[in-house]
Amino acid sequence: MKTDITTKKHRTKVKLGIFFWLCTFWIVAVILVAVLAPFLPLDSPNKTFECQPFLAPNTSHIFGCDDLGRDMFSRVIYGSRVSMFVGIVSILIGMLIGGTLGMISGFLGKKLDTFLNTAANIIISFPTLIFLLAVVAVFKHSLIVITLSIAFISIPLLFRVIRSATIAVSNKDFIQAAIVLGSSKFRILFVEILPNILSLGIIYGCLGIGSAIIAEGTLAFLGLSVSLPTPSWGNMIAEGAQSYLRRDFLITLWPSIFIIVTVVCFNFISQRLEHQFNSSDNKV
Amino acid sequence: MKFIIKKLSILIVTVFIASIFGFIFEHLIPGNPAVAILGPQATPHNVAVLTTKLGLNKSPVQQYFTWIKNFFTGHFGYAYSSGDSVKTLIAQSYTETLELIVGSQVLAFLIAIPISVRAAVKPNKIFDKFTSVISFGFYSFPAFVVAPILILIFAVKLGIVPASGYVGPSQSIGQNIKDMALPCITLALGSFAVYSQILRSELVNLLKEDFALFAKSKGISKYKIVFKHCFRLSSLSLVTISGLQISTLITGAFVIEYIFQLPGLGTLIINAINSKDYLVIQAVSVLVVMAVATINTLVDISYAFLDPRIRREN
Repeated sequence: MKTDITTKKHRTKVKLGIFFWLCTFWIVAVILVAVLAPFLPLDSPNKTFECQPFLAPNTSHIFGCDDLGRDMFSRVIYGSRVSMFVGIVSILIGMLIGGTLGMISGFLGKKLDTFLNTAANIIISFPTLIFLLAVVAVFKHSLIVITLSIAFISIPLLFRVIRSATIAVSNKDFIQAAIVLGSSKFRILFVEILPNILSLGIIYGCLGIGSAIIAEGTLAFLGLSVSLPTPSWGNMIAEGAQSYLRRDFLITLWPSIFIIVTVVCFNFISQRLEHQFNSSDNKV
Repeated sequence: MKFIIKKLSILIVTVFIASIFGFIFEHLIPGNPAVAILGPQATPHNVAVLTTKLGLNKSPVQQYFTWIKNFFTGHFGYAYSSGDSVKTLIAQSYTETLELIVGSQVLAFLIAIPISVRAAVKPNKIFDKFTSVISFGFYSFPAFVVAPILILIFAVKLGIVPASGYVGPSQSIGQNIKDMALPCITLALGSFAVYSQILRSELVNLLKEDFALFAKSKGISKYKIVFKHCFRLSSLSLVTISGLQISTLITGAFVIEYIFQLPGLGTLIINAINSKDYLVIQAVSVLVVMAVATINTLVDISYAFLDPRIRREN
């Protein structure tokens, strides 16, 4: 096709678009601010009566203040620490376990593959929220428990994606060639297959982080994530929406904006990268 | 046939695993289950009697079979906080969850069908692009963000509907519809996003098929082709998708019930978690897992009946 030739010629110049870079900027900024929050010149997120309760946004408190006179801006920033930690760490763990199992299972095939795939399908058919609710009911709802249980849920999903990608790559000529040449299985998996499925891993990783942030937000909204007064986007939305929607909807609005923009950014980056990798795959 | 057996065996395994989880759950609860059931003021004698009655002094395997027998005959135990039978509590609340799910699905189809038809007839035009951005947005928005916004607009600012509360349809149908409007809309938006995207892409592909091109060459309008010829083909996959969405829908309904304070299964389980009412949590979650697994299997099997290609693939 005509368009293919032109894109091939300017392959390095294919643009991801301005929105992609805006989203990346937002994510990087939120991560940086979340990590550096204690070193930034912010008011303490939990110090009450820092300012007038329900104070409207002004120059010294740009997001205004909540019902207890806590600075909303610093609460939103500190809230991002919980969301980003749970989102990124849980998906990293899920990717490490699910991805590795997926590669091994997809490459080796046979009984192991049938077993793992059936197991993954069964775990996936469990409703995620029910699982999370059961876990927080038995264990304490701490950051670690929530991160690990979201990681557990993500394992079979990431496993499935990586497994099918591995199967597709395994059938290609260069892998068959490597097998014939007598490369070790370890080498084939990590030197030949891994670089080829890494892009897919990043795409689904971004998508997964978005879903993990929503999962944590849902738990926090239900009052089952980190305990108060530690701010998290979910429990801030709950606090504002349950009691102060009439009085001051900004308390609900700020964390809502942050969670939506962050999740949409992760989803958009994932979608854009998928488009990008797919179009470059077709050219090869 | 082989396909059905495979699906049914997976269903049995899933139900079995769910029951094991449910059983283990009861034993993970801190403290003696007998104490948990009787409450903190139970005398040691009563605890000992109930321990024997529950068979807690038997082997785990025997205990498991007793548990299974009780569970499948509907003996879920008694709620620790109120003393009501868990069975009664579930029977009182499931209708409300069902109403929410059915209402939202009807709404989602009513919005998704006309919009995706319009988008598919003129693909990549402004309307199509606009609706795909909108549905991408709805897909990313979690219920706990959408609901407060809807409450703010429709309940607080406009005052058309109440922000929370629930009146059963048997008491007042009008008030019931008003109460359920916002919850149903919130739950419908997520489904709308999924349905409209799938229906749109399916219709776009179908309109490129020979039969559609032939009909078009005879001068039949695109809308007529869609409704007369394409729709029957794509409604099949739409039904499947809505069946497979059931897990998302139930959990979505749980969160929405909590937001709008509707007395459904979601509110029941969340309150149970807060009051540490383990038997309620156990019964609701195991039942939901089993229901979801059963529905998924039925959808898979019925789809295979309707579309022979699926059977061959497996």
